[in-house]
Amino acid sequence: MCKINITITVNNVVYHEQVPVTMTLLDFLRERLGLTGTKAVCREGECGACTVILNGQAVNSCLILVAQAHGSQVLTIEGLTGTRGDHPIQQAFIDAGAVQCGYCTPGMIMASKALLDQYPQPTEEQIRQALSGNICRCTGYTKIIAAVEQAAKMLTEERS
Amino acid sequence: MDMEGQNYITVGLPLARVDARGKVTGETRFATDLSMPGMLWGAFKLAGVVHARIKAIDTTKAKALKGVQAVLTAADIPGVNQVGPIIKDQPILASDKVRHVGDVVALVAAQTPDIAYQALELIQVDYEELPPILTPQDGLLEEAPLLHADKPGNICLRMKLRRGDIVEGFRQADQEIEDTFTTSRQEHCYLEPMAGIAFPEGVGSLAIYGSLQCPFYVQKAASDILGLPLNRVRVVQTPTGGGFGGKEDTPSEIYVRLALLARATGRPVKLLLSRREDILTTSKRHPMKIKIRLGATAQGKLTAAQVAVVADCGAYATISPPVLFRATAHAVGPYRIPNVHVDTTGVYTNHPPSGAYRGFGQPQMAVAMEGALDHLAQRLNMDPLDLRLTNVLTPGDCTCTGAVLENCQDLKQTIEVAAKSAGWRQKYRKVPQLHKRYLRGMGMAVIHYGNSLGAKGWHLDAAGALVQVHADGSISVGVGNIDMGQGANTVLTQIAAEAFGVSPTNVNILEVDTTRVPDSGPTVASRTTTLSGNAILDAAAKIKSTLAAVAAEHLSTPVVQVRFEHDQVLGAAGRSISFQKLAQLAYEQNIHLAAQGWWVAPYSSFDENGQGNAYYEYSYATHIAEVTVDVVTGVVRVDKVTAAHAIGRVINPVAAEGQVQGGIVQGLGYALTEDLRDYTGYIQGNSFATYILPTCLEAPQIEVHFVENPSVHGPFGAKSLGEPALIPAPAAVINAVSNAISWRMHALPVSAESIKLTLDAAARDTVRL
Amino acid sequence: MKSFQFQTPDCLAHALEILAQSQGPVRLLGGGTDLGVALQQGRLATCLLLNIANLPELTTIEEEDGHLSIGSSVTYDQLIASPLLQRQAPLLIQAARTVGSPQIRNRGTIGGNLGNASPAGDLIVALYALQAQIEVASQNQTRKIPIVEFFQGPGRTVLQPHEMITHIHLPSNSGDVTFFWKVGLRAAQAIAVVNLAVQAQRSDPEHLANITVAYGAVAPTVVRAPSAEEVLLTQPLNDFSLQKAARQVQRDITPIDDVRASARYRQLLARDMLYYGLQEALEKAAS
Repeated sequence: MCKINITITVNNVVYHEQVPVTMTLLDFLRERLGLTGTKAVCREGECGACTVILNGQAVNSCLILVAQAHGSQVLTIEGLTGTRGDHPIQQAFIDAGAVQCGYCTPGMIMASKALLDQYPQPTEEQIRQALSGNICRCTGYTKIIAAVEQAAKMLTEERS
Repeated sequence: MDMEGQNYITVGLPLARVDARGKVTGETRFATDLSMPGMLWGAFKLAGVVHARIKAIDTTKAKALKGVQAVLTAADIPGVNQVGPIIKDQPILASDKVRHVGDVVALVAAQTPDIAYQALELIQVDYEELPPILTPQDGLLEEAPLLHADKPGNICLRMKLRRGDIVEGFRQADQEIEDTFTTSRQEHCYLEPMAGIAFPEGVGSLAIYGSLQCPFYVQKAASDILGLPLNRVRVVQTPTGGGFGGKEDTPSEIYVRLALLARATGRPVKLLLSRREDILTTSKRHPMKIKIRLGATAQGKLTAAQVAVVADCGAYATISPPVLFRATAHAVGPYRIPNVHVDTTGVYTNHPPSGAYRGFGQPQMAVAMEGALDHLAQRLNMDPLDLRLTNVLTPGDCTCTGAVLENCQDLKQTIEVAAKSAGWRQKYRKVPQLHKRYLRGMGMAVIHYGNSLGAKGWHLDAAGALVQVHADGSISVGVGNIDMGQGANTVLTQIAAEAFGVSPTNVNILEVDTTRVPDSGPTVASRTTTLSGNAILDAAAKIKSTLAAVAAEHLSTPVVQVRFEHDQVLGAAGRSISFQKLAQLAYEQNIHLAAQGWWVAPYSSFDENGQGNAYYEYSYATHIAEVTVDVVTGVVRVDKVTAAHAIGRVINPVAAEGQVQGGIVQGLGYALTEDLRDYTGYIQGNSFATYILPTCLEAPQIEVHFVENPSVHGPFGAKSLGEPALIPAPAAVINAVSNAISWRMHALPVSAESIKLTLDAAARDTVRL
Repeated sequence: MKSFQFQTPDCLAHALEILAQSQGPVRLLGGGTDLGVALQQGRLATCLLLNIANLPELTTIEEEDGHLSIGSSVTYDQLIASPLLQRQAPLLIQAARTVGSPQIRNRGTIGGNLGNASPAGDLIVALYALQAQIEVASQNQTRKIPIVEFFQGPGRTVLQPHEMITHIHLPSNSGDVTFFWKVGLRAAQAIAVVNLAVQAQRSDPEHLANITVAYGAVAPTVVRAPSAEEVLLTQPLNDFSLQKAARQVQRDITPIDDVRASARYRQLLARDMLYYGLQEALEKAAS
């Protein structure tokens, strides 16, 4: 297997690693770095469970070769919990009852984070569009949408 | 509403889920995330053909591959090569025949997943292909080949229900209708794929950790197949990323294969099925063909119902008997019908086994019965709401099995609450809408749901709990039923906290481990709140009586006056001690503060004519769907679903609402888009790209109401909810679509394509329904 | 055992040099939204993966001499966000919005959509209607290919092994009656059952000029609908001519039954989407 050296920043930690050229970002995070919060469900970009934020954008980490992410900044669910505790989006998911089995949750939260970074006060339609690449089989989405609305409010209050 | 309820402190609170934090931070370790030192990777060689005789299996090349530690076939099984919780018709590794594309013929354990998959490619299986049976109708033909030598006619099972005099019933009818409905093969699509790890534990024992619903099923299967006594097999359920019935029967095959590999290699073996493998090899919702005939008087009183169900059981029976029992017992809905015939036939085919799926045969029956009722209402020129109100069971009435419902006033209330809240009387259109691009429609469905396993599963209807109060007043609770995402651990926490009068933060629900409590049956049939909840109450009562005696002495209070409230234990004359201090006091006196609880469901019966109470308790629900159909494309948008559920006491309103919302969206997926498209046995819909799940753009506005009429059986009066959340939704959505387009749709999924083709045919046809 | 290679060139010339000199097969890797799936499913043959995602020459959107030039590594998201395209090629943006999910649109590229050559490619349908030219380059030459000549069948294009798509050229703002309409099995994350793009100019209240009608998922490649276009060009606009044009579409398409839909459904959709779509677009243009 052909390997390549990469430098990648994950959750503000810089890693210099040698990786197989076909290793996905998803497998790199889960298997090399042990960051198992990012989930693998369909491995074909259909479900969004593996969503992480790559250079500010929500992406399916199952479709990205980590070799392609050389020099990039990656934020995963583990990086969202800061020194001050849970991120408001995480808290909102707990408070709104948006978590059931929890397997879609990290991807949902990362997709929500990407949305709120770009649109701090999204409409319901913007939320639905932003989460349309993330499948949830448990909740019927209602409480997830409510959680993102709540998180937007919390973040706006935090800023002001 | 009873007054007692006003006093509950934790029961009825919208407590945040106890497992939510680990899930939002990514800290929760699912089976997929586990690893162990020295761990190998397991993989399954799937049949890849639909129906064939196995002439030879050659594993030589696979065994020779570097990094391969074991290659096993049926010949390597130490115990019996047989699974099947009821009918023992399924080999765990196919030996002479394969009967569906996902049958497993060999197992590999290797150092990496890549090597394991390479080894699978090197296993050569020589098949003699046999003609496949692709529909139950084909299977029933006289000349059909037999899937199982001992199952003549390919019949898996037959069941019947007889009530009253069907001939007389139809003679009394002024109007009658007949419809035939067909339903599709739904896949659970729990997001976490099947994953687990099995490892030798001590000498001669094995442990299995996995994503599963029924640890005791897996324990039993492992014991049979490995030839080990039950006390040598320990099964632990890992946090489970969705089940919906999909992790009920199938894990007994999946993880026991893993255990075979662990035993053969003496090392931990992990398995993680790919989504494609998971879809190919696991069980599905039963496709059914349901012929239904209803008769009613001119005033709309139902006089007779005749139902014939032919169900596709797939290659093996798995859990078909209780599924078809439930379907039969609920065939004609919660209505007063004096004369009923139901005939149910389950047929083997060369598809993946049909097994447990949320609703257990009831969603299909509701589609048929509620669709037929709308048809009848049209024929009678009656509002479908009035037809239902006229016939719905009221206290003292009998179900079609002859169960007398004494306390079912909440059933009719669900109809009234949903209809009022949805504005049915104002919005429902009887007249076809012509010359419009967007057609609006409204539909309803009403269901009853027999709680827990009922007569055909009564022998499994008991559960245990192990409760321990520690010296610091914190409480550990072990149960035998699991949380697969539905929120059981939160609700059980509330039940335990309420029982002891302590804060829910004092309670810790332990991971489910078969060594902790006696066999508590499966986590199915929406029964965990009741079964495990009552078992916790039983154990709590024992410990509380011990604690009360300690408190009585300490507080100089007669023991009957001791109360447990707000983390305090109260005695006479305002004297009190904190729960924590009382626990400490008890420990100082060497008093035993642990107990096993046990609860057995009341007996239920179902005789050879389908008569008996069938289940000891029923939940009720009404869903009303509002849809818009685009006549240009046939695309349906579900605008709103209004749901009213009678589930006795609501233990956690937010969790309960979440169950209903999730059930509705899973139900509308079933109604409109979900279909494995398995026409050939090879399954076209074998990925998330080809099996079309609803996204949040398909999710409607959902309004949820609860009608609280406490049950005498459930903990604090609770009843079942998990499955009733889904059951009425497909029927309501399809009735709404039929109402919109003024044409009754009979085949699931009611896809945009089927609607467009129907509208196109109707446009060229002068006769409309 | 497969052994893939991976290389990231620093500029277009370097990429073309690698393409020219490579002994074995080379696959161009943009966003990976198609290749990544093939790789995960073990369907990708061993090759050199040439990472062109961030080649500076291929990530620009520019207007030059009344033409728009879009680099092949521009993502769907960048198309949608481009003020220039919002003004000059709204049809392309409408098409881009219907692709996949936000995660897919953040990675997938216009060049990838063309190179993948799906008969249902959403951007391809819009680019047919916009009469795009595909600029392809090798180390020795560049050539521009009209989009209708670019595709040979499902997954097949006229691209030579040492060539790559570098730019897509569009005439800027050439229609006042335009629409893109995709019908899939759900609202997002869907491959088209039928997708349709129309562009025309309203020469006078009664007539359309320069009309292009393009369909996806109804033939081995995306196709124009010349019979329908002919009716719309030659007959005065009224309900009768719209219906007639819609009926003529059957002559231009050859849909099949597949995992998503039947040929019959596609025929009905192709007919009715044109009729209703035009009706709506004409009303919108009139108001």
